[in-house]
Amino acid sequence: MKARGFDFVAPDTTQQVCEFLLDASCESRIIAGGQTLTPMLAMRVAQPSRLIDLSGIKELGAIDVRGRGISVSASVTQSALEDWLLKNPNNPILSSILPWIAHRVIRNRGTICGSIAHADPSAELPLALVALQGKIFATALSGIREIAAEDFFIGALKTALEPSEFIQSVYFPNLNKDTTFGFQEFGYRSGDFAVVSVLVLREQHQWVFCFGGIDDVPRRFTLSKANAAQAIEFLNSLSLEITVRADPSATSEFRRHLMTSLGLRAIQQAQPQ
Amino acid sequence: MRYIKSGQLEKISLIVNERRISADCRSNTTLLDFLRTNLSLTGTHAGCEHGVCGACTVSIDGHAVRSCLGFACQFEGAVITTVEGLSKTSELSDLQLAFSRHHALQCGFCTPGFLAIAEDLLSRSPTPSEDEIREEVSSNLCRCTGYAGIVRAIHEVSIMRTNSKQEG
Repeated sequence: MKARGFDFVAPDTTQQVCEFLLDASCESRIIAGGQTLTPMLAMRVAQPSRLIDLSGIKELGAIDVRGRGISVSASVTQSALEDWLLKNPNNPILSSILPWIAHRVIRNRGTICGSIAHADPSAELPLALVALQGKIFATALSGIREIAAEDFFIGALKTALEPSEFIQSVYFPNLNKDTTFGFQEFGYRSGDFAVVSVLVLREQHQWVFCFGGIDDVPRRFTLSKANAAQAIEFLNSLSLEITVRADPSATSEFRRHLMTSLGLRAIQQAQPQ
Repeated sequence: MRYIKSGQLEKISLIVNERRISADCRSNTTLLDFLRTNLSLTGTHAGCEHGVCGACTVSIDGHAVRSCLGFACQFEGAVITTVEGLSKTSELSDLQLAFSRHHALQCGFCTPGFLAIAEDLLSRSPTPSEDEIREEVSSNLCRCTGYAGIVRAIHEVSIMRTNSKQEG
């Protein structure tokens, strides 16, 4: 359980990061919190020849209120955002989902952008980003590219990020004033990855249903002009119609069951008080 | 900018248990191995070495962190507290004494990690509920105690510290 040898570089600027990413002489991987990458290195699932550490770059440590949302830079940890949201409660979805990510001790190092870049199909942050229709800002030497969340996740652990790019920040839009939501997750143990997670947004004119763990990427569905009973009906038929993945942790039948049972609770949570 | 070639020894400087330390490590030396092997601080225990068991948890800049899930070279300039640094005197700390009183350990292998997460919790939430404590300790594995004594010990220290703060 020891990582293979690799070159380690801690650049001072994002420009230097981009220059190292362009260097084709070795396979580089970005590391920030390393809470997923380090075990992958230890088990030798990943064997890059160089690690580029973002944690020392000052400009990548910011959480900013921008427009009607928040922008979270590359080296912001999950616990830092969790604590920031206690003082700035302007994104209740993030406040609700963050405690579900692993455990506090992992969130103390794990980063927001790292979780997005890793793109685990059952991770909470990709689900929230897709549900809120957030954006990813990918930086390369040639400039910054803005990627919509729905275009970013293309498969399990696969993203639209080019080898020359890294995620400089992600943008989570706030909820509209009249939007309510519900979030439900099932995992086998506290801190485990979700088997299925469900995020329901009740907007003024539509319902948004987002599911993690049922496919290779977070899935988002909308239903316009419907009441709660119609939303439940939609949820039931959706769970029967779409393809749902199976793996040793859960059959697709169990996942379909979770879609409807968790979804029902999330719809109830999303009812205005 | 620091660049460490694969296999090359590089000196890193950090503060461990209030002592300024400089020592050599390689790029792929985990902080866990650095503490145990290079600094001989073997109180931090190597369990699963991939972030699951929590036995290697230490405090870094005031936050509990798995020392197996980071490379030593990432912690240049960090302030680290291991189980050896929990008490500033030769006596055990209040938390360690409470663990002893409540039988919060049997074999003791997991204990350094539990002490680290307990201190992290108490620094954020001085009077945690039992549910909060249980949620927190669910990140670490203990195969002897069934957690009941650990929860009681942390709860008792939270009350003791709050009372002594009010009196002081």
